[in-house]
Amino acid sequence: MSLVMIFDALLIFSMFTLGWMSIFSLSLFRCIVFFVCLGLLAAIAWGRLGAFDVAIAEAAIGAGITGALLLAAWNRIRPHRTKAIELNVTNAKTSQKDTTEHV
Amino acid sequence: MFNTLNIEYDSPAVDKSALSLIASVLVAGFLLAVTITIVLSDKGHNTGLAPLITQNIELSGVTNPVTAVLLNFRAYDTLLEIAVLLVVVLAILPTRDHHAPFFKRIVVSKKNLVLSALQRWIAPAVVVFAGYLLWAGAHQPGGAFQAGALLAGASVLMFQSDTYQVNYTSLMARVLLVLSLVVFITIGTALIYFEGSLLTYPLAFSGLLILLIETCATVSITLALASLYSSFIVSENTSVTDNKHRTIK
Repeated sequence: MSLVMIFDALLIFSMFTLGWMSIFSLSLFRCIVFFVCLGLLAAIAWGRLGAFDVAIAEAAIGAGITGALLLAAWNRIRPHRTKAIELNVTNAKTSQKDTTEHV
Repeated sequence: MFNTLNIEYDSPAVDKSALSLIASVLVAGFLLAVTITIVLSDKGHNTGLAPLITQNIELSGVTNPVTAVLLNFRAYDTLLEIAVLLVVVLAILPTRDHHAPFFKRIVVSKKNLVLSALQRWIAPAVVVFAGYLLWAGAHQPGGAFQAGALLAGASVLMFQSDTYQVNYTSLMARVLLVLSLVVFITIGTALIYFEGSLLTYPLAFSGLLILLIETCATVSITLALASLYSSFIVSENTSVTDNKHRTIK
């Protein structure tokens, strides 16, 4: 089992994991971030398959533009909290609030 | 035992969630089995179209097989893709003032130093790299879609500060949006007259025509993707696109 095989296996495993996390994460923001990561890994996978055109397109459109679009849409639909709560969320102490909020 | 049995049970006989689970597992298993069967039984036949393309690559005017397929052998595919992208942009195009200028720079009082420094360093490099990708598409991986997506990414970066605003309903923006489709259709129909069939490039000019189409496509794709992003932004400075124009129907 060569090093390349291990790399490919890791790539496949992490793609499945990120795909799962990008669907079933509680916070919508995390879903988007994981989706962007999935797009980058998909670009690497296309490169491993030798399709470099698709890899460039995937990295630019799939991860970059789609990620920006999803984040902008998330910014539109999220319930805008007040300043006080927003300051609380940025504290590390209350970061659990973010995960339980389903936003 | 029969005491607990509900004889007058009138709910559905099967659990719906279990049914959907069984159905999804069956479908996934069937697809997996078919895929494995195809892959295992397809020995030596999975060369695809690659030999056909490498035989005819000299006729296409470019040396990158992907570009040869996208813009020569299957050019109408790309033509329809660009048309689809234009339809998408038309669907989300804001109802705004079309007399306002195409591009406007707004002086923002509070300036994010990190962001503006990032813009100054990254954006020119991305523009140069997009131009390289467009040029390299003839003989290397690259091309119009990749270059357009990169430029759109650069414009997304520029939109992060509210300094720059683009009015997508101005005449200039509309011309640039339809530019690639117009050029593509014009060249395609002109080639019916000169060459006898749609989008059959003459051998001497095929590389030049492909580069022309790709350049126009890059501009249109950039503007289309940037307008997709801009349609999501709620900007505080709406001086370019005044709200009073939305009420005029």
